[in-house]
Amino acid sequence: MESISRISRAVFLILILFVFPQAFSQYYVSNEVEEMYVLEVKQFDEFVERFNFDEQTPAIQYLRDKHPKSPLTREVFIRSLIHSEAQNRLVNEFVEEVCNASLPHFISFYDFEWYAEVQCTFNYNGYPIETQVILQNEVLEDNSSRWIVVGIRENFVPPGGRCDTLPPSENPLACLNPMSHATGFIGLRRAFRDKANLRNYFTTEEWNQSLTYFAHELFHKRLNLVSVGKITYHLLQLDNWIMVVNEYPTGTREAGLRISRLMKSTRKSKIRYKKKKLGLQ
Amino acid sequence: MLQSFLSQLRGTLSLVVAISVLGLATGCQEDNSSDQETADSSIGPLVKCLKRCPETIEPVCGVDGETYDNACVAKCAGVEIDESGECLLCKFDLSEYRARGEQKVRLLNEYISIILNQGPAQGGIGDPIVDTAVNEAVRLFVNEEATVAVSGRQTKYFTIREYLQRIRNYTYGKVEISWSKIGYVSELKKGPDGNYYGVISITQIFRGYVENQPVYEDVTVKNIEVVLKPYAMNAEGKVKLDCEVFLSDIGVKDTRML
Repeated sequence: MESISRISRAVFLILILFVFPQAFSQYYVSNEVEEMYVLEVKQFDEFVERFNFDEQTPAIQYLRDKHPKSPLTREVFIRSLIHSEAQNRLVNEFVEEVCNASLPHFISFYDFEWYAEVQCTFNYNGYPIETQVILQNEVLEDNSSRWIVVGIRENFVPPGGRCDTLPPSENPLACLNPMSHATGFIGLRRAFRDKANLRNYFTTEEWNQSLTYFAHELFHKRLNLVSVGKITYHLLQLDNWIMVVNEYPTGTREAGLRISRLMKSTRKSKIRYKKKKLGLQ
Repeated sequence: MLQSFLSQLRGTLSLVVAISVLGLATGCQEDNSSDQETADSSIGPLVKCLKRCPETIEPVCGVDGETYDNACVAKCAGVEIDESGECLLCKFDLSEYRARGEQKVRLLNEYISIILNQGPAQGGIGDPIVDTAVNEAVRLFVNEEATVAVSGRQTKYFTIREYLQRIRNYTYGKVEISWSKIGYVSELKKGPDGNYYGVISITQIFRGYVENQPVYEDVTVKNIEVVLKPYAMNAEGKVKLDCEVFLSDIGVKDTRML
């Protein structure tokens, strides 16, 4: 009887997390706004915590508090992070591999193998253009970190276009702070206008021609960032897998940051992905 | 962090080498071999232990006030973990940062309510109370460049002062702004500038009334950046490090009309 009761509690928990979030909400909270908010993955940090099944993350604490007898597992939480549009035959394999009891896999904010693809609208010589800027969180020697531009999707180089490299920054501490992603990269507007320190907001690694030209046009104020839109995260940290994480609207069944695409990947295909999909070197 | 820990370890090893070299130089050969054995025997397990640790950076703060690369490294060093994340210069714990951050958000909310409820509909243009509320609200922010995103067909951006001046022109007879209990507070992360950065996610419900009838109502999910700026202060003749908490950029994730 006890095992039946445990199973029914587990089924109930799965239902409230995936199938009937409304029921989940009504069960736990009375306020409509609050109920959607509990389910929403509000920040990338929260996504990482939920993926790693960090006991300190509010969603786990909330469920443990409100429903102490339900067997809450990492597997259930990871499945709830995968958006229904990404559900396919790979999901079971992925969950099994990541939650392997003897060798579980985790993700980290401080791992370099993840990127933010930011949809940006620019004004270029009086004309609006849209492109994706690729940023990476760079961890420095003192374990501080900052966001840096590592790539640009649009080819900015006109035929025969030539440009100079940027001068060194005047203030070496000028940076795009490590939490810039959580406010939708508002700070990019200030960064791209900070002509004296523009070099600091870009990678210290080798630049391709398009990135060089992009920076050159920003420096000469011919290219101005108007607004920042959708952010897509590309996580290449896990062996054998690439996860694409997108933001889904508030008030939906699967609001906030969720895995929108899951791909099996080898080391080689990750290199290809970085080159083709992210426009990196 | 690991680097500092390993450099300490390397320092210890260098010390062992230095002692043995010095010992040889001074002819104290008979004793230093046993000293070295003692030192080696204490370092050996530590190195072995460190080799088993993952190379991932998931900083934890030890009870000794040192930051370690991850929990495994701290465990190898025999140090209990005080909290996850970097040790902060100003010894803020997460709950204090959360409390101070939330307090600033509450204050901002109060100033915005004053500004909106003394607006043009109340003949409040040029009202010194509103001017004071705007100035005090701006003082909550790290600087005047702090930016507020406003959702629409295309997101618009205003500096905090521009934003507050803009909302004082709203023509509602009365407004109510309620903020849900704060939903998520991120861990603090250290920037290269020495400041620490975190983000507080909140849900705001806005109701605008004209002649006591609600005419507009929306729910906005906002992510508010919080900056901890360390500073040195002189307390009873001793220099002590503390941090001041400021608000910074406010991003808007989503707005839904009710």
